[in-house]
Order: sequence, then structure tokens, then C-alpha cells
Amino acid sequence: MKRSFYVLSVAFVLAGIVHILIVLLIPNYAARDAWAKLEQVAAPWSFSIVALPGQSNEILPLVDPAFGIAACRFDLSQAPLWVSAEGQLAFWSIAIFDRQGRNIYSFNDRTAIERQLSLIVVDPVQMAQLRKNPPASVDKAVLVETNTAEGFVLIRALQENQSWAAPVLQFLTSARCERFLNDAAARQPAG
Amino acid sequence: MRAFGELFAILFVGLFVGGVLAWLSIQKNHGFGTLTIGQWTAWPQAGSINADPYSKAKVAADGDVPLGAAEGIAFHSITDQRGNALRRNCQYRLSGMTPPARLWTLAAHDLNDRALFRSDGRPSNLVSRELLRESNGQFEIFAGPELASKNWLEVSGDGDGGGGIGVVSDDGSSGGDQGSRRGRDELFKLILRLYDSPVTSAGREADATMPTVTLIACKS
Repeated sequence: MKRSFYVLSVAFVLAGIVHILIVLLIPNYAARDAWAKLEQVAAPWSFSIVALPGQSNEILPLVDPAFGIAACRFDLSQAPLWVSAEGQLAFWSIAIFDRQGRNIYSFNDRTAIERQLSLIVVDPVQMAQLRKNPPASVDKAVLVETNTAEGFVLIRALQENQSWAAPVLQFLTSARCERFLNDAAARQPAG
Repeated sequence: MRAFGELFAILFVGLFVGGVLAWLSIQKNHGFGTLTIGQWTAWPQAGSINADPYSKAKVAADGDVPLGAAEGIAFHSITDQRGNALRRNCQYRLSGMTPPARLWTLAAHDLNDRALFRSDGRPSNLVSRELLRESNGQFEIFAGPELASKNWLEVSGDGDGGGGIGVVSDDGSSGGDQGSRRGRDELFKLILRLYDSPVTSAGREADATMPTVTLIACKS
């Protein structure tokens, strides 16, 4: 009796350890996380439209059907990231995710500068370079420093009703996801 | 021999129970890191760097891209006011107020998170600015298969697995196990997403009020 109680308690301690290990390891090994799904549909350093408002969307099913979604994967170890898009919508927002799908930073059209989407994402070293010689284009951009190298940005554009379909599509197709090469950064490797 | 049996029992119970607990904890609307208002549940920290391990695991396993703090917050409801599961053959009334937000949307999803579609092929969703409201700002939304005056969120009542474009391929082929599949297919959840809301950006989660979901009637 005493022995079976002992066996059972060891089993439950093991169950607890297994439970904790699985929960902690899922983010590292999930085969169908957001990054893995985007990897299948989109090349890095360019926006692809993942979802259009009002249409079914198998890639990211849980996103709002009233929104158009564009996503772009980046790798800061190659270059700083510059994101921009043209247009005025009723609402848009953008979020930066790291490789594991965690939200690093987000803002929307009202918190953007002059309601324009312009975003520069840099790592600490690139930030130091940028500070030394800030190009004029940095003035009107939201500047975000992060330690994560790989990640993706995701733009959400609201289509309030059918009449907004064209502006939303235009906004998403105008979105650019580029390596940000200012003069200072370009000179850096040579000098 | 007895020791071997006990070792086997320990390993079996440990791995099985541990695995099931882990699976359950990311399937269910668990209590970790949730914000519950009435029937509505949100995960304000989901997807953030500070999220608890369960939220992180759930986001990764779902492959979700949660709304950031400056974007908004999503409230899910799978039950009505009395705690009964939402069914597609029933008509519901949503009334009351939402927390302050620049805009919000209401959408019907199936329990596998796919958006539901109306009979005309458009998604089952509403945007707050298009709503008809009372003079005091309150609103009434009817969700269900029956055409309703004021604001109608059409939710397909036939329970054929979404009844719309795009999801047909997935469900049309499902042959066996009709009973349990149908039961799950007939259920749905409502997701109310607040955008640019002080609930997240200013951390004012406590004074949030959400609309109530009341059952009106069911078609048999």
C-alpha cells in the first residue's frame, strides 16, 4: 500500500515535469507557428498579402476577416529593415514579431508620424551607426531597436465596407520591406 | 519483475498525464493570463515578450499572430449569458456597451478558428462604425440564422461546417465520424476585437464592460 502510494506520487511528479517541459518547448518546436507558415508563402524582404478582407484565409485563420494582412520576413543580421506604405485608411496597424512569433513592437496609424507608415528596425550595432550619421529619411520614421535578428512585420489594414476594398489593396501592395542602406552604413565595412 | 512493472507504470502515467495536461492547457480557455469580462475572455499578454509560458505555447501551437498592445485586443466568447455553448441554429442578441476603442469588429468563427461565411459568401462579421445605435450609444446585434432588423450578424444555421467558400473543401470530404464532427461544427464562437483601445494601451482593463449575449430561440 505504502509502496504503491510512493509509485503513484513519483508518477505524478514525472507528469508535472513532462507537462512543464512540453509547455516550455512548444514555442521552440511548433511546426505550424506563424513563422513556419509565412516561410511557405512568402520570400524574405518583400511583403506578401496573406489575407484579403472578406475572403477565407487558411494561413492565419484567427485574424480578423475585416482586415487585409501583409507580412514580410526580415533578418537584421543582413541589414536594417525599412518598412513603408502609401495611403490613408480608416485604420491600419503594424506589428513586429520575433522568430518565435512574439510581439516586439506595434503601432497604428494614429501613433505613426504624420499618419504615414514608415518604420526602421535596427539592432543595437546598427543603431549606433545610425546615430553617428543620421540620414534625413530617419526623421519621419518610427525607429525601433531590437536584439532579435530574425523576425517578421505584419500590416493589418481595415476594410470597413466594400467601398474601401481598392484603397486597402492599394495600401497593402504599396507596402515595401527593404534593406535600409544609408550612406553611413554602406561606408562602414570599407572604412 | 514487480519493480519493472512499477517503473513502467510511472513512465506511462508520467508521460501520458503530463502530455495530456500540456495538450489541454493550450486547447482550453485556461485561466493563465486571461482577462475575463462576463462571457468574454481575452489574453492581453498573448504574444508579448512578457507572456506566461502557457500563452506563449498556445500562440505558437495555434500559429497565431496576436494583436499587439498598440493594435488592439480580441475577446472570445463560446457561450451565451447562461453558460451554454453558442450554436449556429440559434438566434442570439448582443446588447450593451463595449470598452472604449476607436473601432471594433465582431466576427463569427468556428471552433477551429476559421472565419464563418454567410450564405452570400461574405464573412460573418460587423464593423462598429457601420452599426445602427440607440441615441445613448448602446447597440443591439442579432446573431444567428434568422434575418433581423437593426444589426444582423448572419451566422449560417445549417451547421454544414461553415457553409461558405474556402471551408467547403475541408468539410465536404469528411465522411466518417459524422456525429461528433457535426456536433462540433454546429458550435461557433464570437470574437469581438477592439482596435486602438485604452484597454490595452493604457492598461485600463478593470473598467471594461462587454455586451451580453442572450439566447432568443433555436431552430430544431
